[in-house]
Amino acid sequence: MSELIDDRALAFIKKYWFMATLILIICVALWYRGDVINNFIIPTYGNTMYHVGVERETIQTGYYPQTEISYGGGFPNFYVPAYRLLIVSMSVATGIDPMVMSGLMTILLSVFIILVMFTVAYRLSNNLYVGLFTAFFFLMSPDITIYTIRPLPEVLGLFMVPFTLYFVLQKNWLIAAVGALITALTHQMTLLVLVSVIGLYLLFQLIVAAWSFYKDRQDRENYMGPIRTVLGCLAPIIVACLTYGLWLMYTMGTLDILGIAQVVNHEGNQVDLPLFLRTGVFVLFFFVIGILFVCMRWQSSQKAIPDNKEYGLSISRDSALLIIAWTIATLMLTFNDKLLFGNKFLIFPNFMDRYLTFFVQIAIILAGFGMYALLSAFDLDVLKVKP
Amino acid sequence: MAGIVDYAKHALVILMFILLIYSSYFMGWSLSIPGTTSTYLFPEVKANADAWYGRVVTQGEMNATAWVIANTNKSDKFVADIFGAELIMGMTDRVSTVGGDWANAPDPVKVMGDTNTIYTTSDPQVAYNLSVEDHCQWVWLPNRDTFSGYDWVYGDHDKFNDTQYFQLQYANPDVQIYKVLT
Repeated sequence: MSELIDDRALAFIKKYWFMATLILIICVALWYRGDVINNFIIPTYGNTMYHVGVERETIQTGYYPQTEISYGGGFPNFYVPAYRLLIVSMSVATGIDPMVMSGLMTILLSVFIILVMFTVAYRLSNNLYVGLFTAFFFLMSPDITIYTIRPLPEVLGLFMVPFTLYFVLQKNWLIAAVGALITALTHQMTLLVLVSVIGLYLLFQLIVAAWSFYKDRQDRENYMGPIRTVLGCLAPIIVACLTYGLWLMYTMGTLDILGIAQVVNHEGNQVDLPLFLRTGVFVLFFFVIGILFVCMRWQSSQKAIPDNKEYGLSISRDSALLIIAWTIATLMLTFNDKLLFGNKFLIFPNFMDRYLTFFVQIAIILAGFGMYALLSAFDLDVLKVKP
Repeated sequence: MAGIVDYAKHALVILMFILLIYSSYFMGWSLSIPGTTSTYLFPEVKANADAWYGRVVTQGEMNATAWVIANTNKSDKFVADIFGAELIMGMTDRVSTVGGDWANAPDPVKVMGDTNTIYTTSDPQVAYNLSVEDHCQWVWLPNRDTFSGYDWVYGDHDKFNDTQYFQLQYANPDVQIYKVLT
């Protein structure tokens, strides 16, 4: 009798432990983020209440303000509107004050960020455990925590980047373009990150196509596949750039943003070692293992699938290229003060510490790969069964 | 059938995850960062992120925003530091000298300097002239350090009691609101 109960308990645990662990991770994230709304005001660092002001104005007048309420007001409102309109719509729909709503949405969006990173990690690896470990490492990063406890447009941006890249990887160019459009209207730095990652991914695909053509021009599919991906990648890039360009023309009447205060005064902090460690020391440790693991395990077959007999992991060429493009592009943006031509090159150096957070996202995903690699090395039998 | 070794492996893995969480949220220690004089503090998530929960503004300031809505015009402008200004714009939509997005603002560095001077100078005439120059009708004077883009300063509060230039209109233990006389 007791053996039967034991078996049933074991079967129950085997069936639900994965989902329970994911829920537990989300609960820990919610526990730490409770203080976002457990106060008379939301956290105020990062101009959070300024966004609330624009949201309140929009609700009260029924129009998105064309002039600023910052720094004396009266000049064109240059900031992109998607995040603010999200808060406004939720506030109008529920009757909740926009200040409280922006806190609530921060908590909700941080949960969505965990879920989208879980999904992207799963899509990159074809392995649910990598997704679960990614969700776990979300809890372990100070930097991503700092940017998911403050009601800022960047929190929506941190959702939009992996969301859009998921559809780039799926080659669903229509949704990728819609994602890019929303990103362009969410947060300027997020837009630059997204376009840079997709642009570098496009470049890698072009190199693969050229190499395949050079090696064997008879094998048409071998180079036409990457060429189709290159053409597809143009869709989100063009949509993002056009959208932002149109927004600039609408608000400022010009595409020239080189004269704005953030560019002229080179806003942003240099990312030195103490700041870089804010990625999370454990995240960075497993990130190193993860990137080595991806480099060793990626397969050139475009449709690599896990072994049917034993649950495994497979990293397609596209996945590996996207991971590398994501890592390099965000690292270059993070260290834009070191890599580019001083203050003479376009808008740099600028916002180095803000771009770090987007590197942290891919670092967390790669840490998920790293944890999988470590536990696989211990021959943990649970990893061999699909949850 | 799982053996003792498998159970031990699973227990160790679970223990490792618990330790990782513990070191990120609960266990206090520090790490010297090589090549620098800095130390990296643990529990790393709480040690780094807790400070970003800061509100800076006080409950009394929040309470004062109701008075602002009831007693000032929508077009009125405040001298306020960045955090006070953003509270004012967030709750009342009134504009201040600083605060918000400086990206497209005309000469934001000048108004940062003006605001800082208005709070720090001990000369009421200097504070008054700058307030008028920046087209302000009100001064927001919180009972805390202010930040207008340079340093955190408490400033000189006494000068605002000079009734030749300023008139107290609202006060609670956390904030005073002065009218700039015309």
